[in-house]
Amino acid sequence: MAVDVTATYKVLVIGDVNVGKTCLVHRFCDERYYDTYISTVGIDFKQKIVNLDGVPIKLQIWDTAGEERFRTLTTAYYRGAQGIVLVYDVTNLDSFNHLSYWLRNIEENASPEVVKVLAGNKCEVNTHQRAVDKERGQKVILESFDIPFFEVSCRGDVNVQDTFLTLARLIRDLRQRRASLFEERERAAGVKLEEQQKAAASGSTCGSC
Amino acid sequence: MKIARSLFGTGIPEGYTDGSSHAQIDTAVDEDNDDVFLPDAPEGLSTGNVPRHNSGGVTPPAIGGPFSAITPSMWPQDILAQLSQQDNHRDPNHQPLYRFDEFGFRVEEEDGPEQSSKKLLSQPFVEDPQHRLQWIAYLEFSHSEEVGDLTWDHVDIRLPRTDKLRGMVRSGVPHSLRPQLWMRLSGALQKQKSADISYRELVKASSNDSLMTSKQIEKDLLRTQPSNACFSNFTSTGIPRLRRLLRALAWLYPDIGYCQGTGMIAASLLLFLEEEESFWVMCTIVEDLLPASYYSATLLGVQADQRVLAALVATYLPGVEAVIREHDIELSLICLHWYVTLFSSVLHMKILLRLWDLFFLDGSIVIFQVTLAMLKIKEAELKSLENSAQIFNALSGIPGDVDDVECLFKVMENVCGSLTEVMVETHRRRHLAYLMADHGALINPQNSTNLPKQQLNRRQVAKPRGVLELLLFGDEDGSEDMRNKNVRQTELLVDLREAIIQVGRHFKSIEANFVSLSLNPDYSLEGHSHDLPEFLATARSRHRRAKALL
Repeated sequence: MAVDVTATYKVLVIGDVNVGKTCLVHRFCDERYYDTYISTVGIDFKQKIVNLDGVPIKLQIWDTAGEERFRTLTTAYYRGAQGIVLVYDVTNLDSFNHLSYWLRNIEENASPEVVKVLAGNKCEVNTHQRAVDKERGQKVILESFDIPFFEVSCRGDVNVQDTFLTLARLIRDLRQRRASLFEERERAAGVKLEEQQKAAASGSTCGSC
Repeated sequence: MKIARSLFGTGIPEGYTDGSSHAQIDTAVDEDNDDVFLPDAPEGLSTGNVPRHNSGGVTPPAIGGPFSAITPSMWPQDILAQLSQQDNHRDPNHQPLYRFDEFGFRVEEEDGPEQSSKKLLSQPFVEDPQHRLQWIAYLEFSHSEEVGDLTWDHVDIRLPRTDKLRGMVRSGVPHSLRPQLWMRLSGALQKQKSADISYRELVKASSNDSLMTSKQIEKDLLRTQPSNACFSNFTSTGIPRLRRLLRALAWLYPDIGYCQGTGMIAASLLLFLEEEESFWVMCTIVEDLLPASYYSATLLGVQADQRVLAALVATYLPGVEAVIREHDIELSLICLHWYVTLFSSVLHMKILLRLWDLFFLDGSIVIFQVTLAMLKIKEAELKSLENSAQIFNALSGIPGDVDDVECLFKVMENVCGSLTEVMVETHRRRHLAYLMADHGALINPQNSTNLPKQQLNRRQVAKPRGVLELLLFGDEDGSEDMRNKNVRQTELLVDLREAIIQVGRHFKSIEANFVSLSLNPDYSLEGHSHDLPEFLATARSRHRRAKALL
């Protein structure tokens, strides 16, 4: 069945190695869960059409490699990305501490208008397996980075859809804001243009005499 | 039938054995002529506690059945026993958990019909006895000076490149001869024989390595080939081998360490070769067959190759290039991992084996040729697509769609038969230079190694010839001298620069008033004219810092 998709959004999934980026993308796109995935070398690409408040939107999701040496290639990945899902693993403190690295990386490489969402993966684990508890995650995130945050679980299918849908909604809102801004400017420019034309017309009549 | 049995049944010939199954071979010797190819000494040995099976307890796979194409020491005995039980007591209600193919990959039931609709892939993977005989005849003919039966011990460790050999490799190496021939085609056997350290020693040296690399290897072991029964869980036959092999590699090449993607190549090799052979083939791949900085921390080599590919596409496939340019598609996003894994992550194993036959013969030029051929085959489809997402999808799906290797090789000949190694090398050098210039900002003296080297460094395990000695007296090989001299001079400069940075870092760390000093080199002429008088003044005053330190 062909769905008339009104827009396509490019979304990038980034984060440290082994935090579950591929798993998250699979859970979202295929609604499946496997225990192990082949480690992503370079980049993978999936897409899904979502129903965003009645409007079909295609999400183009780029699943990136977490290993450090592949990060030198990221500039190419960031090109044209409208949304970013930044992932860490609640059982791995390093992956949480590296968030500031990733945010800096985004700042340096992505468009300044890019929309971000943070996901703390593997939240189904019990408290003693956790390295980052939820309150701490929320607190740090509220203080340091002003972006929406979800604790997600691919295994338990918790908040996976919400993460991507929130991101999609934010992208849509931004685009609408920009579009209306553009229209306003257009209108303003149009008014000016009319005035100019009037002026030009009066000038020309003047010139003809 | 008999030959098929001798290939895939219990009497597996040469190279398919580990030390303990020697007895098995003796029992399998019958009047068959092929058996002159038995090794005098079993060549494949596994280091460490790999389960050894004796001829009594082994359940061999069915001919052409699951696992039949992999080396016997990798056979998952538990699964094979289950499979043979199922055959013995046919229980119509009993459904096996999974089906496996000849290589041990799990066949997803839903993929079943789709798989079999593919031309080449639906054919059973059984060797043609004629094909094997043809190869044996070729080897015997090229070793006619040998009296008596030819054994692998008497076959040259490198096969001379003849047109006949190239033609035969193009039509495929018989699967039962692959272990022996890959070792000889790639130069891995030569490397193994001339190495000053054995694989066993390397495994030992790297086993007490509790570095980050070992941790990362551990994390990736099950994420390398999860759909293959030999690599699907920690008790699988291939996992301890893969662990030892990757650790040894990371230990031997400190400039690389562990690079994701190499595991995929290693795992594919381990299915067919014994552990030690697989290791030396890996060494040959990273040292000789691919450029030096391919897997380095910056991935410069493989990035340069992506640019080379783009240039070759523009030259040989202007139609494809036009589509890619019109839709602003970055080809490297798609192709990079094909190259990092030497296609092992994307091609069907049957196709991959044929590609690697050629790769071990001709080296890295083959990966460009095959990419160009695959793009050519899809050219019409790519032109018919409308939007960039569709094109991007079609491009990413290209290797997975390859099902006819003969056709692929034919297209390869037509499209880029004129491509030469020199052309690839020229492109490579240029793009490596561009990349290094682009990354100028990234070359940061805080990193311990930051410039690409012309040759991959091994960890020093024995006293090497000094660089100066090599520079002054050269190698025995005179014809290569000029080229090597250039390479060595560059190396020397890289090392010198690194040494200076290290000295600088040392003084920065011990003296407080140097802490704020920048180690970023200033190559400008103004900087030079500023430094020169200071240097001369210091030299005149004979105030030597280094001497004072002594």
